[in-house]
Amino acid sequence: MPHLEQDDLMLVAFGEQPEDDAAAVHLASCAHCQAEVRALTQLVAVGRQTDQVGDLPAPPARVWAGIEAQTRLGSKPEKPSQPIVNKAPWLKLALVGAAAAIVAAVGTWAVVRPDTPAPPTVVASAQLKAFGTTPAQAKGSAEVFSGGRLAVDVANLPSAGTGYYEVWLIDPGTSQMFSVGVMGSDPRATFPLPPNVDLARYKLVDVSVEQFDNQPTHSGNSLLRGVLT
Amino acid sequence: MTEQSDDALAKSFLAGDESALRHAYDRFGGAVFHLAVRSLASQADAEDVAQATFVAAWLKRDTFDPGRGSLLGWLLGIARNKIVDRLRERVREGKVEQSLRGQPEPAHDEQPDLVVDRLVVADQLARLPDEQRRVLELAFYDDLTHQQISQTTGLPLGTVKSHIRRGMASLRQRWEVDGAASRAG
Repeated sequence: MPHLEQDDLMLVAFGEQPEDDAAAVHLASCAHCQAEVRALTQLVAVGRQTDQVGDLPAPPARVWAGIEAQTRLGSKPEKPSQPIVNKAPWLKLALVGAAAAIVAAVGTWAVVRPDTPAPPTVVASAQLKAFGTTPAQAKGSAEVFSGGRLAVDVANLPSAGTGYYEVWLIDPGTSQMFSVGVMGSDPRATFPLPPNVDLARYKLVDVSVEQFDNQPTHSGNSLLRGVLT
Repeated sequence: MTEQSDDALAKSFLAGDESALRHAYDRFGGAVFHLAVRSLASQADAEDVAQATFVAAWLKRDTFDPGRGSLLGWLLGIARNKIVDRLRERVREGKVEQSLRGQPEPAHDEQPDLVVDRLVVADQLARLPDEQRRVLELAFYDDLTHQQISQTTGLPLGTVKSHIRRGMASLRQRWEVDGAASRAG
């Protein structure tokens, strides 16, 4: 006996009987047709529930206001965001190590060098606040030092799960951004900034959670944000 | 406002056209918000998730691939992941009991995947040719047999069967492309 015709499968999925007994007998012993019936029955169950989502109310107006504030950031229309640093995924791993090495090296250098010069001055800073759905207790700060280094401190971040934290600088006017570096498990990290960076433009500090997913662009999951002043 | 086709909207969204975010929100904001409200049983959390979904979608719009599914399916996938994160967070914070106690309606707090499936199948149902859709609605909502549908509509039984067959094939394809199972994880 061949497999059930589509029309018979539909009848069974809607709770009716196949048109001839041979089809019913076949169905009782055919795993392929049974799997088809299961999938279709499930779809019928979903279809029966679609009357619950017929005319859905729009979210409250403040939801759009929030979206507008967070995407345009009070500025002009934007262009598609193009990360100006296009890093390969393996580089992210290297950066974790590099960032840790820089922190370690700076620390060691400060300790062993006898005639330590005056500490670099802070030329800009930002309070980082929880962004989007991030719990409000998450926070941080960012400081740019003379000589072009960015120090980021974070506290109470939600777990990165199987991913990792990444620091970005964003131009709020155009949404263009670049990756500053990756944070390891240390709540403080210091990154060298590109020598030509225009901090008047790229003034929004963003800490995101990223996955090891072969996507060099921002995940869209921002945890903290703050504007350098 | 001109009514764009879903394809045109997906294209302009991908291109970063600033009006596309608003159009996408007007068209799909209700579905995203419904998913969040049903799954989280908290109006405030649902608003946060709806907002975060569109913000995240806009920031990572260059990862949207129209070849892999619809804009609605992609947005619901982002919202679903944010909902799952939020639910895990509640478990971590031991707030589950508290949030359930505050919500008397048992209809809420549903599995997000079920709601996603319902939303994408409903969207596809709405796109079917009128007669095909009408026949499926009688089968789904009024629980009529194929014979009864034929009597009610005056369509020959063979036509009813063919509408059901084609309509279900179309719903199934969309369900498999955009449903929760395709984007889990």
